[in-house]
Formats: sequence, C-alpha cells, structure tokens
Amino acid sequence: MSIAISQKTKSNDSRKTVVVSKKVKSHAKDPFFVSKAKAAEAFLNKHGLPAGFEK
Amino acid sequence: MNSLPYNLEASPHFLDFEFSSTGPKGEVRKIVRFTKMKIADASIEVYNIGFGDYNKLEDKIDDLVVTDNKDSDKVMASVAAAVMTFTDHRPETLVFAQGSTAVRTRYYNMVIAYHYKDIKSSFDVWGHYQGEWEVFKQNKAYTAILAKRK
Repeated sequence: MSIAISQKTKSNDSRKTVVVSKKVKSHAKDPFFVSKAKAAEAFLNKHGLPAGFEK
Repeated sequence: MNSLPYNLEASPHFLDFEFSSTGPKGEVRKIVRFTKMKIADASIEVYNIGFGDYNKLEDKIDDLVVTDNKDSDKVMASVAAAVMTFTDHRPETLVFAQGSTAVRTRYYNMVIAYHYKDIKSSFDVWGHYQGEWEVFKQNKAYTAILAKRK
C-alpha cells in the first residue's frame, strides 16, 4: 500500500514524486550503509562540525 | 534541478528511499539511506546520506559500479528529492555527504555548484576544505559537504 505524502500542485516540485511505501525496507543494518556511516562518523569526529553546531 | 526526478518510494520514517533508473543498461534499482551518526560535542543531529545501486544477483548494494544509464541528471534530481523530503521531516538536522571516491566527491561538488543558486534558497551548505569547514563556494573542490534546511 502506498500513500501520497504531498499534494503540491507546482509541476516541477520534486516532492510530489515521493510516496510512502511499506515495501521499502529499512537498510539500517545493511553492511554497506553501516560502513559508510562509520567512515563519515570518523571523519566528523576527527574534523568537527562548522561553527555553531558544537556544544 | 533541470531534470525531473524519478518517482521515489520512501519508508514510513523517511530514512530509506528507493527509485529505479531506466536507460540503455536497463532498469537499475537505486537506494538512498539516511543514517544517524554519533558525533562528539554536536549540538544537532547529524545524518550521513548513503547512495548506491542494488545488485539483485548478489543481493547487495554497491556504490563503485558505474551504471552509465545516461540519466545522471535525473538520478541526481532524485537524490535531491530524497534530501528535500528527508529534511521536510527533520529540518533541524545536518546532512553529511561524501563520495565513495575522490572523483565522485568532485562530481557531487560540481552538481551542487551548478545548482547552488536554487539550493541556497532552501539550504545552508558548508564544504570541508584543507581541514576547515566553510560556507560553500562554487569554485572550490571540497572533500565533504554538510547541508541544513533554512
């Protein structure tokens, strides 16, 4: 079952092309995305964030 | 984006998006995933955007394959639509992007630079250059990108 999430009428609004579907599974534990996030995490923990986003 | 995106399907929590690229190489399923990261001293949630092709034969995702489906503008417009939708639901987050290779990162830089006039109306964007974050400039080759909805 799919649910339209936006009823934007502007023809070039990209969001009108997105629907929610329970068929889209979570890739939270997929090794590909886990390793990408770990690499990104390491980069940001080494280099920090732009000014204003650190405690 | 000049090209219209493909139709995307999103998971109910808007963390996973899928769409199909169609072209000379046939239909290729693309997956976009936003993963929350643990960043020391961050005052804001930070998500990594990951993006790759789903290899049905091997049941795995790959981002080193060159699809060559002659639709790179449409694919990037679709990834942009995923970012837009994700940040519609989580505007107070940073989205981190870095290519799997230097060439890919350079390509992402070029796409953002080309569309920066449109992008900056909705997003603040920073680039990482020589060890420092700075507000995105169109003529720089950044090693990583961060963006936040305005």
